[in-house]
Amino acid sequence: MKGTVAVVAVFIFGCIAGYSGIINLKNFGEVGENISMYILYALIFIVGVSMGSNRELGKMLKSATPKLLLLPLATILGSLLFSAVVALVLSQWRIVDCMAVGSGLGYYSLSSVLISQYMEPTLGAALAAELGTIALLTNIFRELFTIIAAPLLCRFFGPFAPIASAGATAMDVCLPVILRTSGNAFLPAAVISGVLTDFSVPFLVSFFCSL
Amino acid sequence: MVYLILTLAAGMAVGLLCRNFKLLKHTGKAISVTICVMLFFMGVMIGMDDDLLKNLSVLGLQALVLALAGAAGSVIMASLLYRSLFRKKENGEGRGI
Repeated sequence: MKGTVAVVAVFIFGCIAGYSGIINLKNFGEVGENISMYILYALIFIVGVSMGSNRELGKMLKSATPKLLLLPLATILGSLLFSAVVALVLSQWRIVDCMAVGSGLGYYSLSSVLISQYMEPTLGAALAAELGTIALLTNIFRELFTIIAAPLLCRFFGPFAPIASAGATAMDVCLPVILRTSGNAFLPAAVISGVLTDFSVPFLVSFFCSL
Repeated sequence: MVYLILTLAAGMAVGLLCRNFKLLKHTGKAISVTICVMLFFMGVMIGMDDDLLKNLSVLGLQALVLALAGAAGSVIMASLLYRSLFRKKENGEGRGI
């Protein structure tokens, strides 16, 4: 929770800095324009390092039943389906736009940057940034919603529900909440689902951005 | 996008090769810090965009709808999955895995 608050606060500080003109990225030329992308690559690299160096993960993945792979699949399909339906309500955006946002699956930092970058050819810089911001907000909201509503989700929809709602955040930010509500027995399910949905986000988002 | 996957793979290779280095225990913190830095600059770019700021309340509402829809979809599918394949139906007891 603290992490999410810190992240939201940092984002708002950034907005204020940009708005007030304290930091003017145009002064830094091409580096300034693409700085989010450079930092994104750094982040991806570090995420790769942490995945590669994690001994526990390998053991866990080996010990789980193949049936558990259906959970991330259900998570992704459900999210995509309902996000596509939302396009009927949000007339401004195409179905694939909504699905691109929905395929963020809670991974706000990556999905927002990917969308604002990769939607630029299709939507133009302004709309791409707008959809990227929506993606950022959507996935932050999703993470917060999961943390807050986990007990209710588990009670009415079963122990897989908080894991599915968390999407890609099931293995990090939402893991403590999941263990507390669904129970410690669901650690492998949460980690497997979190890792696989996490891994699928760049592929899914890029895919819908290319349509 | 290919470059992203390559970067990820490169990171994984480094992680695998350097498993025994104590430095790697700090990857969690490194990720958090990098996310904060990245989001800071995302904020800067958005703060510089006047058109975007004008529509913020509209964007927030759209984001909320998308968030709840996405979560709802995932939850419903997961619930169906759990009930059909993972729960013991005889005595209604839940199974861990």
